[in-house]
Amino acid sequence: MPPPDGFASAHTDTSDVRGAVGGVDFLPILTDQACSQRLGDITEQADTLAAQSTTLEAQALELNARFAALEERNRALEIDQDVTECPADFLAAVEELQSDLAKGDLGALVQEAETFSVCAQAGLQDLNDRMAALDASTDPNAANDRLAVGSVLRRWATADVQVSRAVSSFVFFDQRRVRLETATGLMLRRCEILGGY
Amino acid sequence: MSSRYKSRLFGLVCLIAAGGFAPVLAQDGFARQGQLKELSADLSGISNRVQMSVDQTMASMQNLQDYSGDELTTQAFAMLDSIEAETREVIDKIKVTSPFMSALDDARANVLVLLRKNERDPPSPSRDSRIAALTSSLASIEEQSKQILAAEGTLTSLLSDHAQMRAELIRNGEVRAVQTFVNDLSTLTDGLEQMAVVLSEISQNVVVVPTDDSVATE
Repeated sequence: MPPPDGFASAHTDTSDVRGAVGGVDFLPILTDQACSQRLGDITEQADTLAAQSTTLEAQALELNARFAALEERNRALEIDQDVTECPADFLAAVEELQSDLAKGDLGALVQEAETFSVCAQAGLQDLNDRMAALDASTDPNAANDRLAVGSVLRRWATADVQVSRAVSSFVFFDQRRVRLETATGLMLRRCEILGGY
Repeated sequence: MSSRYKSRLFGLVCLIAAGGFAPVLAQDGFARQGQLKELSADLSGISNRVQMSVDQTMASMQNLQDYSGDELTTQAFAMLDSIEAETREVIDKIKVTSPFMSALDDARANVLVLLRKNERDPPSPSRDSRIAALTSSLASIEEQSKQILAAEGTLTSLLSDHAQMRAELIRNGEVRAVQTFVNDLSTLTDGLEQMAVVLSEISQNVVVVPTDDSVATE
């Protein structure tokens, strides 16, 4: 499940906040300065992330299908009393899948998407704060200002949801990859014991 | 054999907590969190079928006493077929590539992202409450996922044991072997009965995974 090309990279200006949550070691959160540089194209970034998610899902499904076929065969081998060792072609297919899975580490992509999620959330929060301030204002122009902020607010809210979904999908795909990698490892270990590997 | 089944059944207990996320076929992709309610009903149906299988097996065991050796072997094989079919059905529901696991992993990812977002919210008592709830849910999902995967291995190993039992039955072809098998089968039936209880509880013990909407309303 290698990450598709074209994802905007690198952020260099970061705070010291870091945390490992749910098995994912997230990178430090971007500072306001670094984040603001991305706010102008948040919608485009959100669309890019959504497209990448779709591409990755197709790849993940393909790997899933390959594993499912091997899993069926592995189960048959487990209960077949006539088998004395794992067949060579089965082993080759398992090793190939394991190799492909190892190439698909999405950790970096998760981190990148997470930084955009941080920015989207920060931007949305900022707009919400401005809207709240306008609500409390006695300025006669506040109503027009609210209209202007409101139109932008919708776009940011959409982007925030879209980016969050992308992060969630990337975490999901990476978790699936790890699960399949572990399971293929178990197949190989069993063949090591049984023979043939 | 008895202790081994007890050990295996421990793995099956994992299904209790995961009951809220039972499986639905995902035709065009991975199963998602939104399907979890349907999954619960699906797994409840399995529970009923397993219970029926247990009853049927018990009746078949009684019938064994009325048959001669060869027929006993045939009967034993038929019972194994029935049990294995049920076991395979459960395995298919909880294996790594099943819609069940997709929905569970999807729920996990969603909870994880929600947790991260809430951690970045401005400090407040309600934020802390949401974080505590999400952290607890995430830990629960992690633990259940591990147990479900362990249960899959346990059940597959059980099928392997059956293959050995079949081989032994063929080799001996004697009533004594069949009766030994029946003793083992009794233990196995106990296990299935416990599994039925577990599966029944699944539909009544749904672990609620916070969603965007539910968190937003807190």
